[in-house]
Formats: sequence, C-alpha cells, structure tokens
Amino acid sequence: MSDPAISVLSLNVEIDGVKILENVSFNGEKGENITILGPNGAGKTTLLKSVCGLIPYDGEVKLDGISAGSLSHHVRASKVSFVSQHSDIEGDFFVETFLDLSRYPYKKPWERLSDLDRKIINEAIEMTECAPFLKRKISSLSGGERQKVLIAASIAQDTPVILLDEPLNHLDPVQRTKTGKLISEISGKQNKTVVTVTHEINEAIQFSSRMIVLNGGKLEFDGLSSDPLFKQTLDTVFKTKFISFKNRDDLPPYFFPGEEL
Amino acid sequence: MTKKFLFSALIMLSLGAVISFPFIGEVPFSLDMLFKESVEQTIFFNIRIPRVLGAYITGAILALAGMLFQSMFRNDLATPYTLGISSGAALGAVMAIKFFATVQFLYYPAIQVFSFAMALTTVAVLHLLTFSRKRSSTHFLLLAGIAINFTCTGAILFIQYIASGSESSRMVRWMMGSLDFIGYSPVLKLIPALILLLVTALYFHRDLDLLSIDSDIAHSRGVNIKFTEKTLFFAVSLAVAITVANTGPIGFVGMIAPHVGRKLIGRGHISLIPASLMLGGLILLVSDTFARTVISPSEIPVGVITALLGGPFFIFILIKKSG
Repeated sequence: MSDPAISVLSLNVEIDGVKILENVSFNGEKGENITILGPNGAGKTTLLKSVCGLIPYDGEVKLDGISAGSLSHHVRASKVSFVSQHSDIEGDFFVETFLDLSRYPYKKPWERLSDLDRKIINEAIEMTECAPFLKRKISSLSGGERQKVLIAASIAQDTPVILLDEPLNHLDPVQRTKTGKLISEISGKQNKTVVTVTHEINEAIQFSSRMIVLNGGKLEFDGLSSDPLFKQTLDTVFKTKFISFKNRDDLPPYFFPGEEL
Repeated sequence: MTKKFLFSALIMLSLGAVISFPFIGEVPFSLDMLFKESVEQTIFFNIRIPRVLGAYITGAILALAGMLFQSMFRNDLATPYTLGISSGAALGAVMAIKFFATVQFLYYPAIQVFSFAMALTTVAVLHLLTFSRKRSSTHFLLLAGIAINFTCTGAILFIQYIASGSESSRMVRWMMGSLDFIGYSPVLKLIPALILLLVTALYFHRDLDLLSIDSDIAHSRGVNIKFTEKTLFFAVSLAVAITVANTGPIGFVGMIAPHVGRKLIGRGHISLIPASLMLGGLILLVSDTFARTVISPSEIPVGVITALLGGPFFIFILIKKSG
C-alpha cells in the first residue's frame, strides 16, 4: 500500500507556554475530503499552520511518507498549499499576476512559465470560474471573488494536499454552497487531499463525509458524519444539545443548536 | 500606457539625459571643443561626464535599495534613508572629520572608511532589533529607524559643538550630500554596488512579489522567507554603505523613484526593478544638474534639492495612506 498523502503523528504545539495542540494524529488518503470542526480556540488553524510549516511543532508530519520537516521550502510547497484567512493582503496586484505566482515552487528565478504551467493555471481558472476578473486588481474583488482567486491559486500550485482555513467565511449562502461544491470537486475530480477548517457544521456535512472534531487542542472524533458518535461529540464539545432533522432523503441531516447543556 | 511604451520612454530619456546633460553648465560647450586638447576638454571628460554618470548610478542604487526595503517590509516609508542608515554614515563621517582628519587607510580617506563602517554598524543594530523578534513587524522597524536617527543626530550635534569652525563647515557640507566627483574612480566604486543590487533583486523577483503580497502566502508558495530577507538586507546594506561613503547622505530618491515606478508600471518586480532603476537615475541626475546650474557659478548641494522634493512627497504619501 502506498503512503498516505498526509500523515500527522502525535502532533504537539505549544505557544508561549500554552498547549495549543496535544497528541493529535490522523491520516489523509489521496482524494479524501476532510473537515476539521471545533469551537473557537480548539486549535484548528494552528493544526493547519503547523502542517504547512508556519509554526514549529513536536511530533511528526509526513507528506507522501516523507517527514515535512526535512523538506526544502520549494519541495514542501510542491506537496502542500495553504489558503489562510487573509484580511490584509496587498491588493494592488492583478489577479492574473497573482495566479502566475502560484507556480513559484517549480520555477528557477530566470525561468518563464511554460505551456504546462499555463495549462495548469487555466484549469484552475476554469474550475473556480475566475476568468471574468483576471484583469482586475485583487483589491477590487468582492469577498466571494477573492476567496475564489485564493483557492484558484492553491489549485494552480498543484499540490497533492490543500489546506483551507475557513473558506466559507464572509460568503453569502449561495456563494457558500458554490465554494463547498468546489472543495468537494477538488478532492473528487483532481484526486487531491483537502483538509478544511470550518465552524459551519451543516455545510461541512453537506460537502464532505469525514469529520475530525477538535476541542481544547485534543482530537475528540474522527469518522463519518453519519456515525451516531459524531452528534454526541458535537453535543459535548459545544456544550449544547444539537437537534438534527431530515426532511429530504437525498440531503444529509441538518443540525442546529438547541438548549445549552 | 503600455509597458513597452513606458520602458522605451524611460530608456530614451535616460540615454538622452546622460548624453546631453554634460553639455549643460557654467562653461558652455560646442561639439568641436571636445576634439581639441583644451581646458574645456578636460572639464568635459574628467568632471562633467563622471558627474553625470555618477549621479545616474547613485540614483539607480538608492532607488533599487529603497524598492527592496519597501517590498520586503510592505511599507512605502521603509527605506534605508528613513531607517537611519544614512544618519549612521553621517555620524561616521563627522567622527572622522573631528578625530581622524589626517588618517588614511590604504588608499581610502578616513571619512569614507568611517562612514562606511558606521553605516554597516547601524544596519547591524537595525537587523538585530528586527530579526531577533519572532515576527518581524514593520511598525517596530520604522520606530527603531526613528530612534536610530535621533541617536545619531544627537551624537552628530555633540561632535559639531566641540568641533572648530572649519571642521564644522566640512561636516555640514558632507551631510548635504554631493556628487562632485573628479575622474572616474568614484564612479567605478559605485558600479559593483549597482550590479550587486540589480542581480540580487532580479534573482529574487518572484520572492519579492510574494513577500510584498503577504508573508503567509509567500511561505505557502515555498519562499524561504528568512533566507530571502537576510540576503536582501545584506545586499542593500552593503550597496548603500558604499554609496553613502562616496556621496554623503542623499535622501528620498529611494522613496520617490520606486513609488512612482509602482504607479506607472505596477507591482510586478520583473518590470518594477528596471523601472525603479531608471527612474532613480533620472530623478537624481535631473536634481543634480539643477543643483549645479541654477545659481551658477555657485552650486546647491544635491542633498538639499532632494530633501526639498522629498519632504513634501513624504507628507503626500502619509496623507494618501491615511486618507
């Protein structure tokens, strides 16, 4: 059997003496779409940041079976990409230029983009429907458009593992659904491992099946959303009795918070 | 305006200015004078041409250095001059004039050696202050720069106070910046600094694009941020130290040129690098030609001109940023 695309083994992160992550372990296979859920401060973003090397950690992160810590910056960037919740990126760049830069890990400073690079970028543009705003500056985009561009850049970086931090934030319901579908397409069609951090429980259930629940830096649940334990974990983690109901057989159940426990 | 048009215009303007400006000055020239052995010929070839070349190259270096710092620290106000490197160099020069006026180090006069060393010392302090912190913050860097400026100015004023009248006037003159080179050797000293900056900037052009967008995005794309920042910091420091030691502090070219470049040509560094270089060269060459002709036969120190241009420009940037 081949190595999992991503494998996290007893990950521990401490920032300024506070334990943010404690003994977190999980594997992600090729083409898997994993959602990480949890209340604010559970360590979700920290988990993504340590996987892509932004934060020092104890433990082991393996990408394609190779320890991430031993990879050079370029090689790591050809294996994992990260879309963080950007609030203050420099918006004076054209979308087109920004997308070209996603081929950075594969280029020597003096090399121009090849036809293959162009093809990969164009596929990403097509998937995310970014074509209409290629000639615009990032600062002129709406929240939804900007999110699309950031995801497009991540797709064009063409890494087997993509990490998304709250990709649905600040999006209207229709955009959320579109972005959610796009995320499941990335894993389904492109056979990439997508790890998404969100607190939108219902969208998460709609667009991915495997859930990881974090609470206080510990992994509380790792399994399918249809598992009865999943709802129980949500109840204890959010200290709230969730009510789930189903009114159409072709849709997953809907959860909403009931009384506090 | 298309990029091609802008670049052709900048190249034509640069060539035109470098070729024609040596003819402007107190002693007028006609072409036939250049081919007869005469005082005019000597002035033209040994004073005017080195000065014009020197001004263009100095402007180009200061503009590239400014652009690199601005992109790296994501702030238009973060240039070597505003961060206090020139103040450090000035302190070195003032120390040399007061205490080591007659000392020579090999072929180099004490003023050059001391201003060079103090410029590097200032950079080292700045570097320690910024990179010792876990996350380099631009806000912190700018404040550190202001603190360094104040400290150096204080020390300069003290040395000036205890200096004699003639020493003091030499100090003031040095601190106003000057490009009155004689012969080609100062120009030849500047060329390696320009090449160093140009090659480093071009090598890191994509890293600079990404760094100026956002450091998390740069990291995610695979930029080795620490290595890139340190290499650029080192190249800029060395180039600026060499330049300041030869010309004295000349402010604001490093801030204005890249800023205008971004407005004209955008933020992609593959175009911004040559554009900043040429704009910097042109701005300083025009300023210097103005400085040496406007009250001819006397001349205004070029640092005075650039400061008079740059001060209001600085305020303009601040107002636009907050507005």
